[in-house]
Amino acid sequence: MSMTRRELIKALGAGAAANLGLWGVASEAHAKNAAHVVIVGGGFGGTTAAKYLRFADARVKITLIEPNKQYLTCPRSNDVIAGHMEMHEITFTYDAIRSQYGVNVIHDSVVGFDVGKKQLTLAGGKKLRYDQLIVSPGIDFKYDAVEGWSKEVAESSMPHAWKAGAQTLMVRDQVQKMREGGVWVMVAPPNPFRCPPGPYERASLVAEYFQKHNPKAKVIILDAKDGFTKDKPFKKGWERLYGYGSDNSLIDWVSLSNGGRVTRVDAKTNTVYTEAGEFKADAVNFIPAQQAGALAFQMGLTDASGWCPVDRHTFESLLIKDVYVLGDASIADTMPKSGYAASSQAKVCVQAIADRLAGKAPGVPSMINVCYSLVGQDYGVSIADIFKVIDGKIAKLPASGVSPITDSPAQPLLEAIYQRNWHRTFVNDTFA
Amino acid sequence: MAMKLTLTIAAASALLFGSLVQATETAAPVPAERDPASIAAALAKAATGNVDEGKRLHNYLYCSACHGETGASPSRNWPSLTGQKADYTMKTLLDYKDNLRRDNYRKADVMHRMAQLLTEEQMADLSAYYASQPLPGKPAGINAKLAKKGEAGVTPDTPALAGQTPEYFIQAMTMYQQDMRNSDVGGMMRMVAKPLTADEIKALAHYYASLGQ
Repeated sequence: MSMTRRELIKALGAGAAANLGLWGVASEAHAKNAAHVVIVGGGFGGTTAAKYLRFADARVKITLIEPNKQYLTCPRSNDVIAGHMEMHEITFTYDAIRSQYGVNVIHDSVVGFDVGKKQLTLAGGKKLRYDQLIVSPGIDFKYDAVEGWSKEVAESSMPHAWKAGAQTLMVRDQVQKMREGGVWVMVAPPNPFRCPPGPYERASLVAEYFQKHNPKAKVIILDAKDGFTKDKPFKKGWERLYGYGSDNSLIDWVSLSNGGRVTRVDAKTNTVYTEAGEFKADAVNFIPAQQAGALAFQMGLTDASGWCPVDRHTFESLLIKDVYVLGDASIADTMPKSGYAASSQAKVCVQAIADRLAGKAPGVPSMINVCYSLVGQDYGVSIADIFKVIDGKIAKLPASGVSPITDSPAQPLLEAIYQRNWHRTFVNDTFA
Repeated sequence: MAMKLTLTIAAASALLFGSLVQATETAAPVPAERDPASIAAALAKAATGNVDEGKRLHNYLYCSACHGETGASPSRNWPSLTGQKADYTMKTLLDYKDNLRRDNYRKADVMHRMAQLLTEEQMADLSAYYASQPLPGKPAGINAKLAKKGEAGVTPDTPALAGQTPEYFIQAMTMYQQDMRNSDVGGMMRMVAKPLTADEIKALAHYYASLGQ
């Protein structure tokens, strides 16, 4: 095997003492000949991979590298913006991953990668050799895609809030402190991007906030697209709740065909310039075009598209052997870039790794994605898709679908309740 | 033992609706009980329900999604409603609406919000529809030995329990034991449930389930 006993003991370090978990893996995980799987990135993809790899293989040695000690979920961060939830309610730790599943969680960043030696170097100086490496790097933003918008502008005046954190609170404060009758502009990103329904849920919840607290204020979505996921039930909900389509609608959606593409912003005057003209805003939520997380670029896992090509059966990189890419950063065809999709991919990936380590061929996977979005606190819409690899590509199966539009008052109400339950069970599946 | 059972059920229901582990949050305050006169007045309406309208509502309001196409539950998590006495269903819906039945458990939130959509007339219609259906069949997986054990000293009484999903029955009794469900008039079910062991509850669950038609 690639690792000496001495290296292994060193690598386990202080975490080893905590490795006595529910699964009684401690003694086996220390076995001299156990393979070492390193996972980089502790979001939904990476954390699910760590936990479920333990289910798939009691012996394997698992290390999770994640710079942050806490994870803030993007799902439900829109509820924080609208004042329905607090940050601590979307904050989760790696305690259970460490103590229950015998995973060595290292809070550090990867700064070096040696493909030949199968070795990572961490910012703290530690070197880690792996047998199999899973990278779940998430997304990064194209800060230079639109003139006038940059990282500095995002952090000071026009936040994206497309990773939950300080900018989530910035958007919340801008919404809550908006002058009476103000204009809140959202710049929606071009495809592909993380959480396809997310911008529209956010705009909905901001509209609902205005309806209650600032009824003359207005939400304008400037979009680089002519359609979006669940757009039919979303628009129906807007119509029912916010007068969408009428003269005094709380929400306006300016599509690509109507000139919604943003060409320039001026942070000093809060003005957004589009093909349809200029929009003077009181606050701007600028969600930019996206690409795979920086780490994927640094490690050489991306292609010309800015995303990572993978074998759809296993999520192994098509560019580097024994390295797997999960979640938003991977090219997964019809699967959306969502935490739930990443979680489903992680389960497939670790089963494939466990199969390989056991000398078996990986099977043909089925995957799922379920997303609930709120149009209002009592009005949910959802999408549920089942995927299978067909001819080397991930295809949606016919059973998939979006919420039907009905006249039953129970349907959107139930979906709103399911949304909350979905988030609770999903984070438990990942972090508990 | 009771907690262990609760956790077993939790594992089964975790996928759809989160887990009973959540029920270990602080106990809900004991709600005020209805006065007997208002119960009697409301329950009198149960007898006037329209079966056809109840059937329509069962589908229109998505009740069927959890309780089954006709009200016979396809799941271990939800109760069967077919053959249930109309006044029992009616009281339960009223309790949900007024937040008197909370079960200290998020599942009750769903029913609370759904019941708020209903008029008393619609509750009566739904109650009449379920009462008009035959009792549920025997659920799969009944343990005959346990069912036999459950027979001792027990008679079927109101509400209808024959054919009830045993896992749901165990949930309900466990919640009565732990004061998590407290909508029973006069605290009677809590009094009955408290001395029972987990094994006895399980035996009763299989007994009642075995009486399915």
